[in-house]
Amino acid sequence: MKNIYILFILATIVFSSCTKLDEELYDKIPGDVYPENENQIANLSVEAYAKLRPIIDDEGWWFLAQEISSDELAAPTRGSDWYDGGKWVDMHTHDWSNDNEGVNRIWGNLWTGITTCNQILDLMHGLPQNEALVKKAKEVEVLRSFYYYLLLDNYGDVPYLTSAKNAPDLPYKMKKEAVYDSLIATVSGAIPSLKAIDNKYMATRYMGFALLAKLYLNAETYSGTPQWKKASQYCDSIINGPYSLATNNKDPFITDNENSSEIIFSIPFDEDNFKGFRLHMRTLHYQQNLEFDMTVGPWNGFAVVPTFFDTYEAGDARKDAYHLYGQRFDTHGNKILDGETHKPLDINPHLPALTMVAPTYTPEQIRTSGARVGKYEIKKGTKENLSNDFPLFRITDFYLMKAEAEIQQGNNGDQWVNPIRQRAGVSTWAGTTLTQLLAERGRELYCEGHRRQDQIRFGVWGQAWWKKPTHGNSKEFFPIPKWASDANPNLLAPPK
Amino acid sequence: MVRILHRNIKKVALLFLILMLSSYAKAQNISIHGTVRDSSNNSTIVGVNVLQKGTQNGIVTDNSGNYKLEVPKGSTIIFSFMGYTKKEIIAHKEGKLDVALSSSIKELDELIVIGYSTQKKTDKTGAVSNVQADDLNGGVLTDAIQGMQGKAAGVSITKKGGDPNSGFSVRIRGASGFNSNTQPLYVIDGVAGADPTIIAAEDIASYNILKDAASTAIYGSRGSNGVIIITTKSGKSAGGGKFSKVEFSSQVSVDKVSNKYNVLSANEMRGFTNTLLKEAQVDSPHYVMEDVFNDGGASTDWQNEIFRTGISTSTNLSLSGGNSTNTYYASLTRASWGGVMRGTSKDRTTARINVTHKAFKNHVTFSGSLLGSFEKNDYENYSGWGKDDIIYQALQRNPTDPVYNSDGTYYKSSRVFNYENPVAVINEVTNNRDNQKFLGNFRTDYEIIEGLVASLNYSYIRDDASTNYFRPNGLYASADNGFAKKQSTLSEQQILEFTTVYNKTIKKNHNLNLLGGYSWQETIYSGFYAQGRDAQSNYSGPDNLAVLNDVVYGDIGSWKGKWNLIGFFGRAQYNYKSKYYVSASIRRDGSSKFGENNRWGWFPTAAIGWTMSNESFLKNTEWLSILKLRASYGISGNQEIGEYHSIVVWEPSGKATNPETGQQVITFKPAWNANPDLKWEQTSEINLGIDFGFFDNKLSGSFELYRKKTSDLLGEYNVPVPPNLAYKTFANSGSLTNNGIELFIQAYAYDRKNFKWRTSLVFAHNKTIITDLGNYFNEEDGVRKEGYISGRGMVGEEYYVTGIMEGEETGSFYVPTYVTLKDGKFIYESVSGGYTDQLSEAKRTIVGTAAPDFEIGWSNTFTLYKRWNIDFALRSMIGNSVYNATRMFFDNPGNLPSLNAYPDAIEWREDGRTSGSSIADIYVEDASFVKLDYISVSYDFNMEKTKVINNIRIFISANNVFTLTKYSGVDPETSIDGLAFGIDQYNVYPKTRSITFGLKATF
Repeated sequence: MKNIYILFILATIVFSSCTKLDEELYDKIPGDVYPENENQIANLSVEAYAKLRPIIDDEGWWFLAQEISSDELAAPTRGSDWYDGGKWVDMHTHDWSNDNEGVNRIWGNLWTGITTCNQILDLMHGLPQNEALVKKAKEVEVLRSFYYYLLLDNYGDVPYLTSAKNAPDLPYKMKKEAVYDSLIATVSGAIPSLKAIDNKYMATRYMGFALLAKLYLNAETYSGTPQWKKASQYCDSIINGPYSLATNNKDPFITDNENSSEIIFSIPFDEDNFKGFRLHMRTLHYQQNLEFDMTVGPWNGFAVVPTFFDTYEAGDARKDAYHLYGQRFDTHGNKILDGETHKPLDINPHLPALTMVAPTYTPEQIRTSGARVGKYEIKKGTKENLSNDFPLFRITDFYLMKAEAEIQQGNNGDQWVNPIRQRAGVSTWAGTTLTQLLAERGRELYCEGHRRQDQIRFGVWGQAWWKKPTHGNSKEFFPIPKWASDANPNLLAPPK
Repeated sequence: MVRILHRNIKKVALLFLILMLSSYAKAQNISIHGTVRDSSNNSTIVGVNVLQKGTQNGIVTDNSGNYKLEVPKGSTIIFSFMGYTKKEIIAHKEGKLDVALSSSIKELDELIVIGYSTQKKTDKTGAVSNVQADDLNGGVLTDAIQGMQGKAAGVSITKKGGDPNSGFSVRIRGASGFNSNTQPLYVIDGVAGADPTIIAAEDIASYNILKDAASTAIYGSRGSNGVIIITTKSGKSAGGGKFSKVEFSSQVSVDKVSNKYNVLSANEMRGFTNTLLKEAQVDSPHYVMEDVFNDGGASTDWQNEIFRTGISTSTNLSLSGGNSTNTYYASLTRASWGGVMRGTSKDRTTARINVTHKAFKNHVTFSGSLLGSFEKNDYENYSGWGKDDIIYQALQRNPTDPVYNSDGTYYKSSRVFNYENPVAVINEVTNNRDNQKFLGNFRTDYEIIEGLVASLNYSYIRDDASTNYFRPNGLYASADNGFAKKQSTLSEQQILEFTTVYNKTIKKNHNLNLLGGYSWQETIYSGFYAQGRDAQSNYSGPDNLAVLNDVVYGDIGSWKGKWNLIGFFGRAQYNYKSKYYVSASIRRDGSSKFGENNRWGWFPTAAIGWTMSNESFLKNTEWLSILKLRASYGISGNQEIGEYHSIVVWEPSGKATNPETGQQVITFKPAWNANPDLKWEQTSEINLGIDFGFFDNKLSGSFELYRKKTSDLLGEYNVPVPPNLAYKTFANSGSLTNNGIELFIQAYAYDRKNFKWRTSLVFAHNKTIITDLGNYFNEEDGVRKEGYISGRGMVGEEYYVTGIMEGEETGSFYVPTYVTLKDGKFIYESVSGGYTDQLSEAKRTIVGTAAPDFEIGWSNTFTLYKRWNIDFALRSMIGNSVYNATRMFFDNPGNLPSLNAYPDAIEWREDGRTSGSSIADIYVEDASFVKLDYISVSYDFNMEKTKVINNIRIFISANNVFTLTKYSGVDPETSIDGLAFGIDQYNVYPKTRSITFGLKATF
């Protein structure tokens, strides 16, 4: 009997120690512990850069939307492939709604970048201050400005928040002019703190110049007032910087392009550790894995808009350097056969339609038409993700921007256009016109995410092109996504 | 233990008994002996307690129903056995005294199990259903709970398809949450939170289902989805005597696909492509067949390639018994299920031992049990439209494509994206799981004074699983470097409970039952995985990950978490003369999952009852056996969400290069938007009930009416971006109600010597209405979109079919109205009042709901000529719809001729349709059904002559015999779970029709 009493006494002791609810964390770091050490502090800003990763593929959609909505690339419907609820066709024909996948995801992912920057800035401001940390904070502000620049470029009026913890619950939009002014002020103010070095993955002083040049170049779109002179000045800062034109058109786009003399700022993609660049998967034909000994099967999608393809004249080195068409061969030199028709895979660059279904189009047309994007090197043994860095700013762009800014000011731009044309093996121009310049920008900068912005800036956005009807210039900005305005109706109110 | 078992080996025990009895023989005593039989069929009854009234002198009947006892002349002998009416006979003279017991149909006198205690059925004040083992459906059941389908009103036990590897969805009185788990709490022999699959169907003695909040709230936070209390079989001690029993049963079942998908055959496909060619030749006369279609050259029925006849078996052996101080029960069950889809199977071994021991002059009872369940699963994927999703791949695959090339290798073709040979996937992909479940429980009950029992219960539950996946290089038609993954997970749960129960009858008329308790529960879970690609050897499969050539960041991961729950509870039940009942309970629960200030919640209840039939004015009404009115109210809670969502935590975000140093580093990000206000989801419920019994309870039943409101629904809600980083936050928002009625009627409809018919009917109606979507919900059109369809060509915000709206039912299909086909396109009614061919502009309306209006179960047992038993059980759901997304995809003429399709696709094409697969009301189908769930015929052999075997029963049964439905897909039944259900999306494993042969022997 005694034993029983002891048991119950023991039980009572156990209970009294068991009235506490403890929320012990094992696999995550509590908010009051992070950052734990100097090493984490030193790497705080890296997460802000890492948020550039999703913007190229369909996680963040920025690059896809810039290309598919422009006159460069199409994602045609091929039989029962690539219809995908019409999102590609709508993007091509400018019929996007506020529920379009691209419209949704650009917003979400750019804000992820901005909010991440703000959270890091909040953390940095809470740490003991020193010069290095203050400069790092400036760097993060410039990087945040880059995200805001893309947001402004795609949506116009947007909220402008500079702290995560002090942000309002339901922010209002700010007029795009005011966002533009804030960005100019933030970046200009930070320039002296930024390092004047050639580091392609960092918000360096040159990256700051490049960002200012882009903002001024598009100033009319953002603020209503052109700033050609300032754009031209900041292009000079780049052209006179530690960058130079590559001798070969392909060099900035090879797999190991991290040392390219052209690149000012890029996303350091890696097939294993920094995934997010899958343009080859989207564009190559199903059996083109054989051409590159790829370990995964590509998806037979994106093709070059035929009218755009035709703007490359014969002899233009970029025509073959940037595109894949004609009969394809495997790595042993054998003709590749199509996996369904079992006929030689001969890619006809002339895409017949945006929507191709049987029996109006033959299986061969459906599967094999449209030149594929070959601008970025696909090395032998490529996996699902490319290891090529994605250049966000490269010097060739600034040559052409310089030319544009000068022509806009009534000056001659030939000296900045002709080196590019010469490199491509085509004749030089005298008295380059804006129309010529836009076409040249297309041929040179195709598939680098610039085309949408360029077509808007040159005022041709509302015009018709291949399978895309005419519309007014009302579609320069994407609508605020429905999911965002549903959660925050203030986004639909007039900007404050 | 071993000694106890040895002692109880039948013959030794018998001998022992006889010896003992003869030593007791005294002059004034008389010796009586005889056989106890069932009065209805004259069969002998084993294990009947034969006790001299007012003494400990007793025995139980042996294997032949015989007993022998020495008693003083003229003493009263009590013959009692569960399920039979007790009989008292005075022993006047020495010699033979045969007794016939009649089976009691006064089941209302049975005990029912309620939270932490038991209660006479007639004393209940809440909505509690009780189902005994005999009433369950048999056959080789996928899980034991399957036997309870259609047996208890308001308990929906459903399953989409017939995969032996997937479990049942059990829902009591409708949904009670948005995102939180809606499965009930299982309590196995007092252990709350145990997994019911740890129990073999053969070991279950009864189910008690607590339905109303007043009954469930004693389990506080985990009670809001209802509680299912499972009581397992245990050994018996019989009034001082000894008793032992060995049971053996074995059954084998043959399963066939009951319903196949209706896709085109190779001949039909060729017929179609000939038409296609003729059409094309109008414009392009030079066209030949390969300009329109590439015939694979074979005729393959892909469903025949992936389906098969499945064989399942189950064997159970149990041993039980006891004496005045000890009881034991041990059982072992081996079962295997061969799924009708090739490559799917399950193997399960369940073992169980429980023992009890009484000590300290019977004041203390120690009981312990060990349960183990060991399961191996072989899986095939079929949940979506991926490369290894067998059903989708088989349905879409062109019937002209052969399975193999002439050299015996798999035929591969890349007609479209995600087009793979399902036979290759079944044969070459390894996808399995090994799961071990363990439950250990030790309990001490101490009767301090008469009626006051203090109990301490400790349980340890562990669930370990490891999964393996291996896909060799180059299996797919599209280039693929394979994939291999091993993952192991473990979860351990400790429960410590201390309860005190006090039972007291004061002055004969005042019956009081008090309960006080404390409960502590802690769950720790963890897991680990490693994966990679490009295996350099296929020989070792997933067993040596060192063969993987491609392993990168993110291919190794692990996790661990913990939560705990503490509860204090008390309950008082009082009745006066079994006429007037009052009870109340309260529980205070704390959960670590919620914000610092919201961790503790109160869960009170109150109930009253009035047994009118015990009033003097009704007491002498012959035809009325019982009439009782009940009312209850209670509040229960729900905390079934993940942990740590109330606090700010950082987790690894990925690998990135520090641009300044060039070093690769791991960066960190906030794991979610922290919500410090996170709190309990609460359910309050009013229940009104009537229990009735007529004609000596030959007809009895109960009727329940309830109204349940769940508020502060836990869920993941959209939040503004900016300023939030993540798009969704876990929060409390909105409320919903469940209103319903339940009826249970049981009748001994026919009771003659050679023909007995017992029948029971359950009927339930429940409506779940969203009353408020809450503060966190702010979509401008007032619709929370759920039930997104995923498939080829179906991408975007418009591809949802379920709309969650205030004032409407959960599971409502909210879809556009198809009007006609114009220029090949689907024309819908538009939002603006006209017509549109744009899905985004189409006006949506509610077209049916996936939840049934009524659920009906009808079970019957016939006994013919005493030895034949025929059982059958019908189950029906009325008023439920299914969105047939399989048809929506396969009637798309755009699939043809590369992909296979339903014959509808050809018809649509003749009508000129060019629209792809698109959401429309025409795919919402009435899925009301009547199913013959179970039919069984058994025969009991007369074993009276043999000494060893007591009883042998053989039976043949069939499960899922037929289904009457208008639904065009393979199975109208759907797992009723979550907010969006009832969507058939090429993910329905065919239901099977099983024929089972079995044998059961008792020794």
